[in-house]
Amino acid sequence: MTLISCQGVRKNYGRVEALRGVSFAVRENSCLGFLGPNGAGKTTTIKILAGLARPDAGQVEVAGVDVVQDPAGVRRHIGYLAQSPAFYNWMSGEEYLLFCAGLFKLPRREALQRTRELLALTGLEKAARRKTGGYSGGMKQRLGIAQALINRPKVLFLDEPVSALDPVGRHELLELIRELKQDSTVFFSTHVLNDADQICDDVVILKEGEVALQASVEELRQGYTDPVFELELESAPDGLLDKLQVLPYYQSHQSSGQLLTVVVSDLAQAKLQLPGFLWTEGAVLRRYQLKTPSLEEVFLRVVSK
Amino acid sequence: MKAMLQKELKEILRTYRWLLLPCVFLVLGLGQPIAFKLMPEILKNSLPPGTTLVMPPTAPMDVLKATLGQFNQMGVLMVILVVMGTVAQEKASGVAAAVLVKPVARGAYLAAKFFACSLLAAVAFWLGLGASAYYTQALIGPVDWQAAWSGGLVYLLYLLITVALAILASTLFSGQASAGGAALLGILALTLLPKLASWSERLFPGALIGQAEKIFAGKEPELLWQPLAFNAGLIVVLLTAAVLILKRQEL
Repeated sequence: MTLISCQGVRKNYGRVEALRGVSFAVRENSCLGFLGPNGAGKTTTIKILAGLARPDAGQVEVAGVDVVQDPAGVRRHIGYLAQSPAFYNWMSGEEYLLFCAGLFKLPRREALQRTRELLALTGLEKAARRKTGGYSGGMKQRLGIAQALINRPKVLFLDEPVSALDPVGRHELLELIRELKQDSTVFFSTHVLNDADQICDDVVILKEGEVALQASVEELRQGYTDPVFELELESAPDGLLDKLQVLPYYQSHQSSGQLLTVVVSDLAQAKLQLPGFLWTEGAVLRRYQLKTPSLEEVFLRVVSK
Repeated sequence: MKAMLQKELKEILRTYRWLLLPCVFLVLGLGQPIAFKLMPEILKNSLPPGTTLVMPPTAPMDVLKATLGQFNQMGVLMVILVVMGTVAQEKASGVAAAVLVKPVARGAYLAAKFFACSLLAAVAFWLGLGASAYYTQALIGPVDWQAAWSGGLVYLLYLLITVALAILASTLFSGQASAGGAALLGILALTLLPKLASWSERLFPGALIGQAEKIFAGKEPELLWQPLAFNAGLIVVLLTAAVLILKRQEL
C-alpha cells in the first residue's frame, strides 16, 4: 500500500523554482532515504508533505489524506522532525513531551506513560528534568525524535536527522531509526549517503528540484554495478598479466601490489570463465569479488549526469 | 487549546514576565500620588524665597487620571515589549513549526496567547491602578472607588486592543523588533488617526481613554456602549486577521 504519494509537485519562491514537478511514492512500513545535494529541494518537499507549506501545483497524499485540501486532517497521522529541532528552552524534556501529548489530547495517564517510554527509547531519562535550553545537539536531536513519535505516527518525516551529529550520536540515531521502521513508514532526508545505505529500503534522489532517480537500494546497486573485478592475490605466477591480456573479454587492468583490478567487456562471460582461468594459471587468491559501487558513487554519478 | 493555554501561562511564570509587567505598572501607579503630594514642596524650593505659592487643592480623581496618562505611554509600551515576541520568536526558532504540525488549530494557538497575555496585562493594570488609588486615598484625599473601578474597566479594553494588535504584528513579522515597531505604530495610528473625524473619534480605541477619564471625573459617560462594542469587535477582527495570516504562512 502506498502511504506517501507526490504527483507533479511544483513550488516557486519568487523567481526561484525550488521544485519542478516532483513525483514519487513510498510503500507502507518502508524506509525511504531522500537524497540530494544541498539546495536540491529536500526540506521544501518535506514541509509540503507535512502540510507546513503549500505547493503551487501538484497532488500530495499522506496516509490517505490529501494534504493540500486538508492539511489539518493529516496532522494526527504524522510525526515531523525539523532540520534543527527547537523546543521551548524554559521547559524540561519531560515537560515538552507531556505538552506534545496534550496537543494530541492524550489522557493524562497515557501521556505520562508514553512520555516515560519515549524518554527510555531515546535514552533521555537522566536529562528528563533538565531544561531543553541546556541540551547538547545530540540530545536535542533525540528529543526531537521523541516528540515526533508521541502519537505513534503512521508516517515519520525526519529532515536531516543525523547530519549534525558526531559519529557516536549518528550511529545511535541510525539504530533508533532502524527500530522505528518496524511500526512506521520513515521518510528521511540526508546528504550523507552512507546513512541511507545502512537503513533504507528505497531511495529517491532529488536534483535541482526534480527527481533524478527512484529505486530500491538493491536495484540501485545492481543497476550501477560495473564490469569490474577486484582480486587480491597471495601469490601470482609470472606472466599472469600477459596471459590475462589476451583473454577475449579482457578490457583493461590495474595492478598495485597484491591488488589487481580487471575491467571486462563481457560481464557474463567473465563471471563464468575468470575463476577457471585464475585456477589453471595457479594464482593463489585471498579475495575475489565483483566490485559493487557504494551508494555514494552511484549518487555522484546520478547527480553529476 | 487547553494544552496551549497551560503552556502560555507556564511560560509567563517561568520567564518572569509575571513579575516584570506588574512591577512596571505598580511603579507607574505609585508614582502619581507621590508626585502630586510632593509637587508643592518641589515648587516651593525652586522659587525665589519670599514668593507665596497658591495652589488649588488636588482632586483625588485627577491623580487617577494622571495615572492613566502614565499607563498610556510607558504601560502600553511595556505591554507591547512583553507580547511582541510571542509568535515571532517561536517562528524564528522553529518551535512554531514543531507545534503547528501537530493537531492544534491556528486559532487555538493564537487565542491561547491572547488570553494569557490579556490576563497578565489585566493583573498588572489592576495592581497599578489599585496601588495608585490606595495611595491617593492615603496621601491626597478620598477616592471614588466606584468610578475608579468602572473607569478602569473601560481603560482595560484599550490595553486588550494593544495585546491583540501586538499579537497580530508578531504573526505578521518574524523579527521581534519589527513586530514591536509595527505594533507601536499600529496603536498610535488607531488612537490618533480617528481623531480627524468626529464619528471615528467616538468609536476607535482613543475614545476608551476619553470615556475612562470622564468616568473618573464623575461625569456620566455618553453612549459608552458604542466604543465598547466597537472595540470588542475590533479585537475579534485583529485576531481573526492574525489567524488568516498564520494559516497562509509557511513555517
